[in-house]
Amino acid sequence: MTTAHPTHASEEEASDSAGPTGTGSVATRVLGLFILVGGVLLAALGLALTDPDVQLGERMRPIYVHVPTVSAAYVLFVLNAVGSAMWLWRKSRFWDQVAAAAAEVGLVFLGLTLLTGAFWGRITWGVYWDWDARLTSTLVMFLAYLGYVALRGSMEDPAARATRSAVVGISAALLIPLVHKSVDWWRSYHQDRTLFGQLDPSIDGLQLFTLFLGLSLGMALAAWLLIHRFRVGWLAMQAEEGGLDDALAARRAEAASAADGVEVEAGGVADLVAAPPAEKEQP
Amino acid sequence: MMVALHQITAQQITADNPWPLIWLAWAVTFGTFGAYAVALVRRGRRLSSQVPQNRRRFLSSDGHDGATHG
Amino acid sequence: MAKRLSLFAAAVRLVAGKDLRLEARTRVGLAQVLPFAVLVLVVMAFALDAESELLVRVSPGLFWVTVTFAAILMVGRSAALEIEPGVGDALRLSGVSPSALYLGKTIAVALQLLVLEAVLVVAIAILYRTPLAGWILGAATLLTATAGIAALGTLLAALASSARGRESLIPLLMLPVLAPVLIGATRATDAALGTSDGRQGWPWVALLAVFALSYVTLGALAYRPLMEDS
Repeated sequence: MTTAHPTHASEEEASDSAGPTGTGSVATRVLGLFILVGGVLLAALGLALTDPDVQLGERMRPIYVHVPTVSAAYVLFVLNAVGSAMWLWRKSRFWDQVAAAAAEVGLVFLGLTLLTGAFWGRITWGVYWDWDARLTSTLVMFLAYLGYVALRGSMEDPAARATRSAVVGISAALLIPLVHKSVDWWRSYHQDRTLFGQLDPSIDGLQLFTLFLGLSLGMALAAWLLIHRFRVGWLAMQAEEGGLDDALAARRAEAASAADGVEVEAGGVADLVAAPPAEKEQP
Repeated sequence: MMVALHQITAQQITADNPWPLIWLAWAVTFGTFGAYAVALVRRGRRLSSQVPQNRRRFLSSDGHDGATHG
Repeated sequence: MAKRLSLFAAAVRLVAGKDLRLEARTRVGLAQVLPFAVLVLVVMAFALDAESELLVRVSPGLFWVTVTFAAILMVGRSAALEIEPGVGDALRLSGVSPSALYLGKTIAVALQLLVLEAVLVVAIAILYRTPLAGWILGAATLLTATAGIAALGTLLAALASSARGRESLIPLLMLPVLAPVLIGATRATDAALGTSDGRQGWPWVALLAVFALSYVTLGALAYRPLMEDS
């Protein structure tokens, strides 16, 4: 699976001298390289080198990307629940950001699961969508986490946002077994077996390897995206808080220098922030 | 089109050419991940230029546990 | 222990009584939500061409969709009572435990929903000419599903109350999580009315009860941090 990861030489130098300048690190670059190579290998195997399935024929091929995305999505949603609980328990902003990142990345994975599943459905059953138990519960979970992300996007106060989205995250995780049970009963009432029971692909060595490669790549990619999304969220939080703190510092500096009768120029604020004046001469 | 799915067996699968949708499934997956990854990296670079040096925690591999109480 | 429990129950009763009294005085539910719900039933009949057989067949589904829509309005209103200026501080000072506050509000919403459902049952029997049957299963379905809807709705409305665009956020958060309730309640009602053959309704009632219990527990536990961080 393709990933773009920063490997510009200029940036490496910059990060050596002045700390990180982006969300990439040595670990993520190595991981990204593995994912890139693995993605090419997976595409070659999945699209060309593996034999068609005995029963499904060429229609087996979307499975190699479909199954990894859904597995990674559910791992990420469990992580979201863990992060949500950790925020409520420890008020750990680290875990709040992990929960946020896991939900968003999980949503991307699950959205792709639904899309590739629809394509697979079209070529195997002749329809893009059917109210099959698995499809329905996947769609419901997708919508539930869409709500989670929407809630996060519509609140400013970090603590309130973290608490409220944590509760939604846990309620969505609570939903996973309930929705699976309910749609299972619901649809088994209409059809005596699930689709996958009938169309079980019989897999040989190379196909099995490709499936496992896809699964591990899916997890690796989930980790890569999670780390980057976490760092983006962390930076955004710091930028907000930093912005507030800097503005406060600038105000304080302004007030202090106004008391001294010194005009603060627009460009001078940054200097004052970088080196705040010693607390002297309070009027 | 709403045939009962359990009635479909391998023999009944139509002989339509599946390749366009197979390619589409792979292209959409790889394309979305690629675009999302690029967007994340770019957002990260833009944001890190706005954040002072001392606030850039967790950006290298040697992060702390970060249990900030508040 | 018993004393604390009775104090807790008194607090729950107090909060539920407060919300119900507010409703009795303002009549928002009676004058707006209830007519809206009946209106939805009428509009559905327009949309489905008032075809009698079809309306009878889909009436369990239409009933629960209508209840869900009404519940969205009701919980939004219930949460709005608490974010009036000063109410939050007053509640914190009153020493009512957040769990009691949550349970009280949930009970108030559930009672109002049950009244609304009673009216809707009559409306469906008259407008859609749906023959009513299976009273015991029907009542059990109404009670368990309503408890689940009220429990989840009260919790989600409270946490969406200070977000931007909360009117649209509440249904967005609520409807996916209510999927098991909508499925279960509709199937159980189907079985009660005898409009669908086959599977009995009681497993669905059990699922609805598990749902209600899960989300009542979550709400009672989560209300304290929600109040502290608002």
